[in-house]
Amino acid sequence: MSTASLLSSVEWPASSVTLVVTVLSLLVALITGVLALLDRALPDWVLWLVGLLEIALVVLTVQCVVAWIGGTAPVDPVVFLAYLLVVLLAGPGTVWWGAAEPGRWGSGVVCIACVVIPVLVVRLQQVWTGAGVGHA
Amino acid sequence: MPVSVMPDAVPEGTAVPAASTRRGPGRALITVYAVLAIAATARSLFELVTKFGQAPVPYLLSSFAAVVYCVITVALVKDTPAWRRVAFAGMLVELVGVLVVGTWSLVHPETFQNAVTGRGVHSVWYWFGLDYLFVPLVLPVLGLNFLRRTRSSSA
Repeated sequence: MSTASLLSSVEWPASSVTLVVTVLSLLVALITGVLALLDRALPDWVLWLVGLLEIALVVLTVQCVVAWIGGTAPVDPVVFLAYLLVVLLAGPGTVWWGAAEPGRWGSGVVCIACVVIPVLVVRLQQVWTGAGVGHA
Repeated sequence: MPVSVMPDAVPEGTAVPAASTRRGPGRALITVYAVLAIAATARSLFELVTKFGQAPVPYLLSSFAAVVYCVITVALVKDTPAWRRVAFAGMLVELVGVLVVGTWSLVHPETFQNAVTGRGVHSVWYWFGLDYLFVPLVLPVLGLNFLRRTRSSSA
């Protein structure tokens, strides 16, 4: 881990929006998790929250791209772009897949995705800064 | 969004066809399998391309897990009687795989070591799926149970 910890001084350019994404995503996961447990279908207003989450993810993307153009490249660019693509598609993908299910499992699908998104964002950060890439 | 009221209720004495693997809990199952399929495939491609020679066994095991997850995901989405059997077989392979690889990684940690750095190398089913919060250990049990509960029956 010695080389990785030296590299981890690379700054993550989107720390505030990362916090927003994480909190919002976990909030949606909590709401949809409770809805699924209560046997409730996915209400339309949850889709608006996922929309907000997606906007935050786009802001995160823009901040990374700006930093990249400004000269701070991610430590592992290819892996970073792969994670970025997946995290950007996760929101729309889950809405498409979950909203088509009328019962409690529509809420369940969105809940699963909103647990996974924060994990992806953590990995995104690690791949950018070079921390924790070693064991992968 | 309207809540469905069991559209496929069947009178007693008729053969009940297997429930769709794309509906209800199956839809959530597909979501989790798709996540693992993407994660494992991307991971193993990265490992094979950049550092295969450093730890061939764990990296090949990751690729095998990736193939299994992709097959199960496709089979659940296809949702025909034949694909249902494929999903069932895939989940059995997954369960055996995670148990064998998990045990192997505990009993013979030296197999899971990077030849260059000497550090431990994780694989998807390393320590029964530690990197994925042990989801790989629980998922096949839930999946097999779902397929068993929703299979076709003739009353």
